[in-house]
Amino acid sequence: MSDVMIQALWGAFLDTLTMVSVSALIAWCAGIPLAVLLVTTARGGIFAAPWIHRPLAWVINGFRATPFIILLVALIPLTRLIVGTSIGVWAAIVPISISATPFFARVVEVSLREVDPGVIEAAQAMGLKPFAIISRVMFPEALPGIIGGFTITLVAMIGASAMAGAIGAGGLGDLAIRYGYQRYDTTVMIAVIAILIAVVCIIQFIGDRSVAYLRSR
Amino acid sequence: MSSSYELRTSGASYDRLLSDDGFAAFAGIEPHADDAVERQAPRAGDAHIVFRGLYKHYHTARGSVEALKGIDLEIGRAEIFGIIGRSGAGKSSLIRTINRLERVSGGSVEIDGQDVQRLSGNELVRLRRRTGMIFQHFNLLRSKSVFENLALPARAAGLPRAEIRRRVERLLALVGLEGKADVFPSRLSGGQKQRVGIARALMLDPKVLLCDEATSALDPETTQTILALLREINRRLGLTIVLITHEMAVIREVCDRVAVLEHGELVESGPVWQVFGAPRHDATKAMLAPLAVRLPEDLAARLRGAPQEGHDTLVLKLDYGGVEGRQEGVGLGRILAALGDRAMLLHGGIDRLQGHAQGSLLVGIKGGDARAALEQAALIDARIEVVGYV
Repeated sequence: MSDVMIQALWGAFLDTLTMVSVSALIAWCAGIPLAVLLVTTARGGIFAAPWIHRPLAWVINGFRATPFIILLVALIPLTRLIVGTSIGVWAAIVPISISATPFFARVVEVSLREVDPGVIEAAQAMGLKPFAIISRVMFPEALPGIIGGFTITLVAMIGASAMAGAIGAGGLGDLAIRYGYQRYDTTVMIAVIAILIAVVCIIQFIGDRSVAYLRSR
Repeated sequence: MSSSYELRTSGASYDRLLSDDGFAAFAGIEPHADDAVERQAPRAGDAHIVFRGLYKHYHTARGSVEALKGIDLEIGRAEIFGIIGRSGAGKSSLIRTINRLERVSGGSVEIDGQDVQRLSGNELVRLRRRTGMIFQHFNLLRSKSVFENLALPARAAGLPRAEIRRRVERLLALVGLEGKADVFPSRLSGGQKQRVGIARALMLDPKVLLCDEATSALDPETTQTILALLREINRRLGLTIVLITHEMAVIREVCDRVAVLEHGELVESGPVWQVFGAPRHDATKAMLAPLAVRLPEDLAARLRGAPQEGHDTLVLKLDYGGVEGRQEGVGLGRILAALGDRAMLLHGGIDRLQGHAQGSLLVGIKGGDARAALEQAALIDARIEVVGYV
């Protein structure tokens, strides 16, 4: 592989890293409040409000049902509005985070729901207010599940970022398509896949280790 | 009231309890001076928690279910009050109305004259902080250490760090878990977890402790130690303890008074010695059955309704207990005088409950005649029942 190619791979790697990490940050920050809202407004939740819960659940399902490649195109006007352009790394972050957030929200929702209702009742009995119950009891108790879910979300986002390459987002996926697929450059394709495997393995390893640590206590 | 109850509630002995083994230091966590005064002289019969005409309905898919039907009950200050019932009797709903984990459908619950239903959000939070609760499955946070579990209610209540540390140390000492502050609940035994639960419930220095089947998940030996701890806490802190259970043995071990709940209704209540000594309602009798004296199997197999060849020993059951004035023991002289020297003790025993002798004796009279024996037995100060002939 030429120096130019290695340079290109390195640049693409950084692009992917940027797309995934910024999108992950957005998904974390938006997904957790959404999940909390889903759990607490559900029937029997601490802020039971079906009129919030139902539309929210529909919107989340809608985004999750739409295939990412379609979301990618459908969100172009929104992306232009936010980023000012529909091509490049920053433009890809909009659809990646919008598709990852509902997914992550559902994962977090499941973890929050699995918190022992007895523990929540105990928290109520000791005079904790609803926000304290969420932040001091439900969130810490659900954290191992949330971290595990976040690992899955991150890996899914790497896949999505590769797809975003198809509409000119840059990154490893873009490189693999342009060189590997369109120019039959197998070396580049294998290099890209190797890098992606390594990244996924590292993320999964860190995620598993964190969950194991949290659960072992 | 029984003598043991008086010992617990009289000011002088309470002071003694305060002064021994460093409890005075523990009392130092008490932030309100007026409460300390109140605690030194808890008066018997002073109602702390009052249920008036309490109703609770649940709406289910199959219509409305009445869980509680008109409960009237007063729980005295600094007493240990037991509520017993079979599963589904409504005891769990009843205890949860005290800190409003359950809303009531009718009637009222008052604590210190304050209607729990009418409290605003902030008042409810204050009430819950004054009311500790422990649970069958302990309900500790798995993700937090023992220290963090205890600190949780205090942090939420905005107590300063140093104060939280002080209280955690004292309470861990009180429940016998010194040195376990940094351990996670998964590393503790059931009894230790419940001790953490008790310590956590006491963090905000409550006036009332609610125990929801607190020993039902524990083995008998651990149950004993937890009950002893509850009794000690009641004595040292003058706390009103309300506990629900389906085990009569728990009530017997630790309670001053007991109420029996059956199908959402209060069928019987009174001092434990009275209810145990002379149960009136069938539900109470059924729940007491495992503790009751029964005819041993070998005799039961030989039992006949009328005297026969080889079955000529009349068996009488003498029930003692449940009446005022039996502070002394059971007089053997009376039994002998009434039944003569042919009488023999077959089975049974007498024990003491809150200073009252109570129990059942099975007495055999060789060649005895039921009618004559019953006439003579009128001299005996017990409830007498002819069992049959063996």
